[in-house]
Amino acid sequence: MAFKMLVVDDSLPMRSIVIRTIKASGFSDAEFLQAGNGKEALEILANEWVDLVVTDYNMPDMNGMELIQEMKKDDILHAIPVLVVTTEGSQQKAGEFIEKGAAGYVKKPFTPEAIRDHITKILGEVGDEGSAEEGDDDLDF
Amino acid sequence: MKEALKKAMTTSISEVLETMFFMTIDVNENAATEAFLGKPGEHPFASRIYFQGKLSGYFLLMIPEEILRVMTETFMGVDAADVTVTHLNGTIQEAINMIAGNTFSTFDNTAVFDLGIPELIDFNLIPSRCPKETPEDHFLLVETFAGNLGLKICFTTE
Repeated sequence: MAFKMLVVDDSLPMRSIVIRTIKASGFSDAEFLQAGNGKEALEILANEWVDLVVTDYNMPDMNGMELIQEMKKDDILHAIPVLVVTTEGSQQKAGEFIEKGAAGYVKKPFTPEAIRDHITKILGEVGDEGSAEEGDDDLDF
Repeated sequence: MKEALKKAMTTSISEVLETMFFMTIDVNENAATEAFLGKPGEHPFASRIYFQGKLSGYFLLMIPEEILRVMTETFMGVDAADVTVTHLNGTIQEAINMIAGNTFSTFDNTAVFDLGIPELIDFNLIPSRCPKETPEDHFLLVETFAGNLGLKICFTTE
């Protein structure tokens, strides 16, 4: 069974590089959905089950923190792990993401290895039936 | 404090361009803004992002189209022929977002800086001096294999 992931970022180029990075991280069979902000993400999540949400923090209309809070209030969506990928680099903000329920936090600029390590850890904790493949330490695009 | 901020900007733009765009750069910390602004015939793309916190003000990133196209091809993994203006705009906005966030986490990762949403601005409307509300400034001339780009900050302390 391939994983389904929702990538949330107001930047089209950033969504593109996040998806490419995840695919190169051993999840080449994963299916990807995309949203430009937290509101759009919730609209998608109302109709689609995903295994992982990868979200930016700083977005118009609804930011990543608000998205996590809305998901945690929901009986179904609270179970979906959220990985935050953001430029926010303060220790306080990083702690706040985890406190609000994020499963992980990656700071931009990121290396492909950082994304791979976090997603493998998160999805490994969710279940082992996914399609993650063994990969080299260094990732090529 | 100003020197630490300038060092953080230099470190940040180097990390962002090398990690996300695979570009090797040299940073000239002593160039004047005029070294980049107002060259005849040039109309670089420009983006601004406001911030608030221990410091308040904005960053400006200015990139000639030729360099931005190379960055976009690398960043998005698309062929040159498939790069659109939307892609170019998105790339410069994401670049300044990462540079600003990384600058502040390098400068002081115990402080919280609230970043705005990156906006596109007309290069021709950029004043050479910072506004009086945020009079302090730094300018970095960033030299790449494809030409120069500029990073400027206008700020005030709280």
